[in-house]
Amino acid sequence: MVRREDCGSPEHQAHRRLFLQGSMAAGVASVASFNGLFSIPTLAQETKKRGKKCILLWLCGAPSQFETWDPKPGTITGGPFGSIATSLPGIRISSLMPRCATIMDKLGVIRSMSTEPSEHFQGIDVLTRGEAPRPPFTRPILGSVVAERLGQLDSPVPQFVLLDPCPEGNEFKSFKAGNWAGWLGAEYGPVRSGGEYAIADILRPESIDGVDHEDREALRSFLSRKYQNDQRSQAAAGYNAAFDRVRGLMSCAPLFDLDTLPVADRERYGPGAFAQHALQARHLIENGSTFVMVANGMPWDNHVFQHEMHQMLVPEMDNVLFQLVTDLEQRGMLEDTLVIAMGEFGRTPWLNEARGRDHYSKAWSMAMAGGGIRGGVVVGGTDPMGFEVTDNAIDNRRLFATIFKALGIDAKEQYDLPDLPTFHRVEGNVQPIEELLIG
Amino acid sequence: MNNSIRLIGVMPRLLAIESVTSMVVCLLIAVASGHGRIAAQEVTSQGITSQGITSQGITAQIDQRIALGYSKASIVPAENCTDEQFIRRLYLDIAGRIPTLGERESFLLDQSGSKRLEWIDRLLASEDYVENFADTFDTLLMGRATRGKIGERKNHWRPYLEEVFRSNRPWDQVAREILLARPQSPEQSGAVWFLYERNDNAQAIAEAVAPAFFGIRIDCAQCHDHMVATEIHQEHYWGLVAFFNRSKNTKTNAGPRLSESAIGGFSDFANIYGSSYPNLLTFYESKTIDEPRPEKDAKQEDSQELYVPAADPADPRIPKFSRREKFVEEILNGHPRFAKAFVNRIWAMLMGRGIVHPYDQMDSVHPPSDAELLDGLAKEFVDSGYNIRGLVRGILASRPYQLGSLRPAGAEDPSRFAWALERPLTAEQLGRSLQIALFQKADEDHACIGDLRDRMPEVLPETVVTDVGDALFLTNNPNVQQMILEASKQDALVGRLASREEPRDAIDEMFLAILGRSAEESESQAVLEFVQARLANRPLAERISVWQSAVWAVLTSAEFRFNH
Amino acid sequence: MQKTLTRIHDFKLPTAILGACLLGDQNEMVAACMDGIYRVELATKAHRRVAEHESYVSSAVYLPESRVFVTGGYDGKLKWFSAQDNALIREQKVHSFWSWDLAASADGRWLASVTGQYLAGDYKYAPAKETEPSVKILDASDGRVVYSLPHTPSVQSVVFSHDSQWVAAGNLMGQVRVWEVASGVEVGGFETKDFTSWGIIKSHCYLGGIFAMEFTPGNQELIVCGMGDMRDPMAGNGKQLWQRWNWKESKLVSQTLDKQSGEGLMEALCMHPAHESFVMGGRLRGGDWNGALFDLASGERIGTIKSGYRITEFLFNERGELIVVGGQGQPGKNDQGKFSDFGRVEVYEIKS
Repeated sequence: MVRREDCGSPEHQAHRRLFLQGSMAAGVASVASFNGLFSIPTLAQETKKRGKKCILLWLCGAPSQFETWDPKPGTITGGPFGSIATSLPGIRISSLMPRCATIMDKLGVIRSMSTEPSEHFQGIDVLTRGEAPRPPFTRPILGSVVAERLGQLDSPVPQFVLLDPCPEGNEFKSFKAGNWAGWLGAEYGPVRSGGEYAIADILRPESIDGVDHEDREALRSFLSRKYQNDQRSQAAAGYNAAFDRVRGLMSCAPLFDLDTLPVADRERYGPGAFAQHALQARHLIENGSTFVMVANGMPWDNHVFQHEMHQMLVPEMDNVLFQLVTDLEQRGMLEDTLVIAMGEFGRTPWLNEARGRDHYSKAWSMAMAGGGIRGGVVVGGTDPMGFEVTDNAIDNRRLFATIFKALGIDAKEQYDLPDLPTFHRVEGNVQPIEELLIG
Repeated sequence: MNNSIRLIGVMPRLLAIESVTSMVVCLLIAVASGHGRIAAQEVTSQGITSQGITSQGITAQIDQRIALGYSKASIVPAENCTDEQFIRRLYLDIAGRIPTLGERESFLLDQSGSKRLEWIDRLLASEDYVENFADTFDTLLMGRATRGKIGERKNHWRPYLEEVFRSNRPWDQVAREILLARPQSPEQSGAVWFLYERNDNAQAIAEAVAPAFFGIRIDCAQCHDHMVATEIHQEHYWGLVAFFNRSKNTKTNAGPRLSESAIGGFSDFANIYGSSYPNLLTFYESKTIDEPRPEKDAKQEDSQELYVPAADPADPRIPKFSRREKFVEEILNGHPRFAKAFVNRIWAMLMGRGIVHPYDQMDSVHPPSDAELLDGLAKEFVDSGYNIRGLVRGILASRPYQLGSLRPAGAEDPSRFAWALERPLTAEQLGRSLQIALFQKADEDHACIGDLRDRMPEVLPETVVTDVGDALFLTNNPNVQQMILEASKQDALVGRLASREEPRDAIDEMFLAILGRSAEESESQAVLEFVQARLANRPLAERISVWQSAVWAVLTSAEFRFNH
Repeated sequence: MQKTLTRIHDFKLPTAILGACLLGDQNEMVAACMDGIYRVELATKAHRRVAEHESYVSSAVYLPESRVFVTGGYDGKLKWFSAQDNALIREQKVHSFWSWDLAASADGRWLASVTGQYLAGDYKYAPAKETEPSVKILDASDGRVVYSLPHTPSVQSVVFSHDSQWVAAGNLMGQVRVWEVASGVEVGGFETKDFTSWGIIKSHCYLGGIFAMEFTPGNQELIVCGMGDMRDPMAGNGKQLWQRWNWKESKLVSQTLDKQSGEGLMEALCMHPAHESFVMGGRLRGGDWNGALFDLASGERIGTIKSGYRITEFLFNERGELIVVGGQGQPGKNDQGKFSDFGRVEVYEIKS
C-alpha cells in the first residue's frame, strides 16, 4: 500500500490542537517594547545535561547474521567466512569482525531475534517503531520517542538527527515530519543531513555581515510576532517558531560539517559515508543531540553478491562499532549513551542463484552497547544451521521494552491521545530482557 | 495518566449567547441577501460580466447557510474586512500576487458603492487570473513538475489550461476533453497531457483522476478495500484503472495523442486475503459497464473491424467500444461527486479549507461541515452550466469571504468560516508578490519562482506547517539575498527608500509596498530605531544596506507570508 | 550458423560448483565446490569428495604433463593433487584473502591466482588500495611465486593467453591489466565501466565487475563477461553482457549484440577448441537463456541453453562436441532441516 501521511490520520488534528495551545499561551505575553532586542547575546554555551542518549546504527536492508554475530563455520549455511574467538570465552563471531571481537565484553548481543515481517517496509516499521502499523495511526519512530522523552526541545542542537546520504529506496526520502514523529507531532521529526542531503542554506550569505544578519532577524521577529499576537495567528506562531530555530541551527552548522572533524578521527573511523557519519553522530551526541540515526540507504540488502558486498560492509560496521564504543568509553559517555546496531531482519541460511542471501526474519542477530546495556552478554541462540531460534526468542516488543528500559523510559506507559485508541509505548505488556540490563 | 505527553485536547470555549443568536442571524441574512442583489444589478447594468454570470444565487446560498451555521454554533463572526485587507486578499486569490502600489491606491480611491464586486469582475477578466488559476490547477491536477518536465508542460498542457480559464470553459467540458483525450481542435490539443504525462501508467492515471474529478483518494484501495473510508472498494480502484489501461501514448503529426486498443486489459485483482476478482468497468458511486469478457486464457484477436477511423486522419483510430469514452459518457457524466468535488476545491482555494476538509478526501471519514451548503452550491454550479468564473465570483462576493481574519473570541472551529482563515501563499504567489513588493512588476520566469517551487511545493496544504528549512531558505538562500540586492537600484524599493530624506517617509512607503498598509506607531518606531542607529553619518552604500535589512525583515514577516 | 545444444547428462552434487576442470581422459571432472573438491565421472555420474579447503573451493585447473590438478580456495590457498590418486602434493597459502580465481597456462608452466577484498576506500565506496599483491604468478611445478603483481581489489578473474605469453586479470571496477608472463612487466590493459554498478538508489557502493575472461585465438584481444549496469544493484537485472577489447590499444571491439541478451550475471566464459565460437553463461534473471554459444567472428548468438539454475563454469571437451556445465541450483530446506543437493552438472552435445 502506498504510504500517505494524510491517510485519514488524526495526527494532523492532534497537531493542530497543539498549535492552538501554543498560540493561546503566546497570546498572553505581549511584545511590549522593542528596545533591547538587537543585541542578541551569543548563544549561551549549551549545557551538556547529563541524560541518556542514543546512537542507532541503522543497518538498513538487513545484514546477514551468519557474516556477523552468529557464524556457522563449517556448515553449508555458514558461507565462506570463518569465525574468530572473542574477548568472551567460548563466544565466536564472524572473522569479518576482528575489532568487535576484542570488545565483546562491552557488547550485548542478541542471537535470537525472531520477528514477523520479512519485507523491508514492514520490517523497517516494526524495527524502528517497535510495532506493526495500525493504519491510519502513525506510531512515532524510536528517535522521535527518545527525543520527546529525553531531549531538550529548547536546545539549538537538533535533538533527533538522521544522517543518511542515500535515502532513496529506503522510503525515508519521501518521509515528512509526520511519518517520523507520528502522533507525537511534527516537531519531533529529525533534522536530516548527509552527503547531498546536507542541510540547505545553513550558512549566512556572504553579502551580509554577521551583525546585520542578526539584527535584521530581530526586527523581523518583532514585526512578525506582533502580527502573530495581534491576529492570534496559529499559522504565524508556527512560522515564527521555525525562524526561532534558525539561529540555533546555524550555530550548529559546524556540527554538520565533516571537514571540521579531526583528520585522525576521520581516518580512524574509515573513509566510507557510513563510517564518517557515525563519527559525526558521536560528535553530535557529545554536543547535545539526544538521538542520532546513522543510515546509508539500504546497502545490506544483498540479494545479489552477498559475500562480495558483506566483505566490505561488515568490516566497516565492525570498525565503526568498535570506534564508537571505545570513544564513548574514553570520554566517560558510554554509560549514558546507548549504541544500537541492527537492521530490519536477517538473511536466509541458503544462498540464492545470484550469489545472494534473501530476507529472513525467523532467526537473526543484533547488538547493543552502553547506556544501561550490560556488556559481555549473548542472548539466545540458533540451531547449528541457523534455521531456527532454539533458545529465548526475542521479538520486536521485547527488544523495544529492553531499549526503553535501558534509556530509562517507561515502556508500559500509555500515550494520552485525545480521540485515539489506547496506545502504549510498547504494546502487549512484555518484559524487557533483564539479563541485558544493568541493575 | 501520563502527564508528560504533550498532547492535551483544548476544550472549545463556547460563548453563551444563545439568546442573541437568532437576532444576529436575521441581521446577517438581511445584509447578505441585500448585498447579493445590489451586486447583481450593478454588474449587469455595467456589462462587466460578458458571460452571463449568475453568481448571486451562489452568494446568497453561502451567506444564508454560513450565517445559519454561526447561529447553530452560537458564534459571532469577525467584522467585515477593511478595503485595504480586501484588496490584498483579492489580488492574491485572483491575480496570484499582491497589488502594486498603484492598483491598491486606485481601489482605495474608487468611490463606487459596489467597488468590491466591480474589482472582483475586473480581476476575473484579467490575464493575471488566467495565470494564477492555471498555476494552481497545474499543481492540483498534475502534481509539481520536475524541473525537466516544466518545459514539456509549457508546450502542451499549460496553454490549454490557460485557455480554460481565459475563455471560462465549462468544467464538465474540460473534464471530458481531458479524459476523453481526443482533441477536436488545436486549442484542445493540450488536454491530452493529463493522461499523456502519466506515460501509460494506468494506475497513476486512476490515482490522479479520483482526486482531480471526484474529490476522493483511492490509493489506499489498491490492495484492499479502504480500511477507514470503507465505502471505497478495491474494485473501484481497479475498475478506474481498467478504463484507462487500453490507452497508449502515441506521437502523431498533430502532437501527442492517446490511442486506445479495442482488446485486452482484462485481469483479476487479488486482495490481501488471497481472493481475486475480475477488474470490471466500474467506479465508486456509479454503475458497472457491460463489456463482454473473454474466457480466461482465451486469446483475443485484434482487427481493423473493431475500430473506426478518427475524423482527422492524423489521429489514432478509435475503438468501437472505447473504455475512455464509456467512462466519460457513463461514469463521469452526471456523477454525483463531480460538481461537488469542484465546488469544494474552489471553496478550499478561496476560503482556506474545504467544506469537506481535506478537499480531496470527500469520503465518509471526512463529512462536510455543511452538507446542504455543499449540495446547494453544487446544484447552482451545475445549473449555471459548470461556470467556473461564476462560482469563483459567487464565493468572492459572499460575506464569509470578506470577513476579517482576526479570529473572534469564542470561535474555535475553522469549519464554521467565522473569520477569514490564513493561508500560506503558494510558491508562485509568493514569488510574484516578492517581485511586486520590490520592483512593482513580476516576471513569470524569475528564478525565485523556481526556487520557491522546489522549497515550498505544497498547494492547499491540509495543515499549515512551516518547516525550519523554509525559514533557513528565506534567511540565508543566496538567491533571496540577491533579489534584495537587485532592489537597490534607484527605481526599485530599496533604492527608493535609501534616497528618501526623511526615514519616516521611507518606512511608510516600505509598509505600503510590502504589506499594503501603513505602519502602526509601534512598528514605525521600531524600524526607525533600527535604521537611525545605523544610518547616522554613513555613506550612501551603507545606507542602502540598512534598508536592505529592513526590507528583508518586513518581507519575511509572517504577515507577508500568509493571505489573510 | 545456428547450433542445437542438446542435454545428454544431468545430475547433482551436494553443493554448488564454483569452478571445474576436465582431466586428461575428458570423461572425468574435478569440481571445485562450496564444501570441497569432487572427482566426478561424467558418463556414470559417480562422484566423491576427495579433499577440501578451509572455505569454498573456487577453482580447479589441470596440468596434463604432470598429471596434477591444482585447486584454489577462499582460504587463500592453492593445493596440488595427483590426478592419479588424489594425493595432496603441495599446499601453499598464497593470499591472506580469497583466491577468487586460478588459471593455468596452456604450456602447463605457470599458475596465476588473484585475490583482493573489497573495502571502502572513500566516501562513495570506491575500493581501497590493495593490502597485499592482488595477482600472483607461480611456477606450476614447484609453487614458487615468480611475480607478485599489483591491481585494485577485488580482482575476480584471471586468464592466460593461448600461447602462454600473457596473463590478464580483471577486477570489480572493470579494470583489466595484462602482463608479460616471462618478465612480469605490465604490457597493456583497459578499463570498462559497463560491468560495474554504483547504486544510485539504495546502496552507494560498487558491485559487479569482470567475472570471466578469455583471450581470442590470436591473443590480441580479450573477451570479458559479467553483468551490465543496474540502477538498483539489488535487482540483479543488468544485461547479460560480454565485451571484446583490443587490450594493447584499450579499444572496445564489439559486445553483446542488440536484442541478443536478457538480464543476469554472466560468470562463465569458455573459448571453443576450434576457436570459432565461445560460450558464456550465468544466471537467468530476465529473458530466455542463461548460457549461449556465440560466433567469434560476428558475435551472433548461435545457440542457447536455458538451464533453470545458475551456471558457474563451462568446459569443452577436446574435440569440441560437448559442453560441460557446472552450476548451482536454488538450495532450500527440506523437512529434516537439511539441504537437498544443489550442485548441478550437465553435459550438452553441440549439433549443427
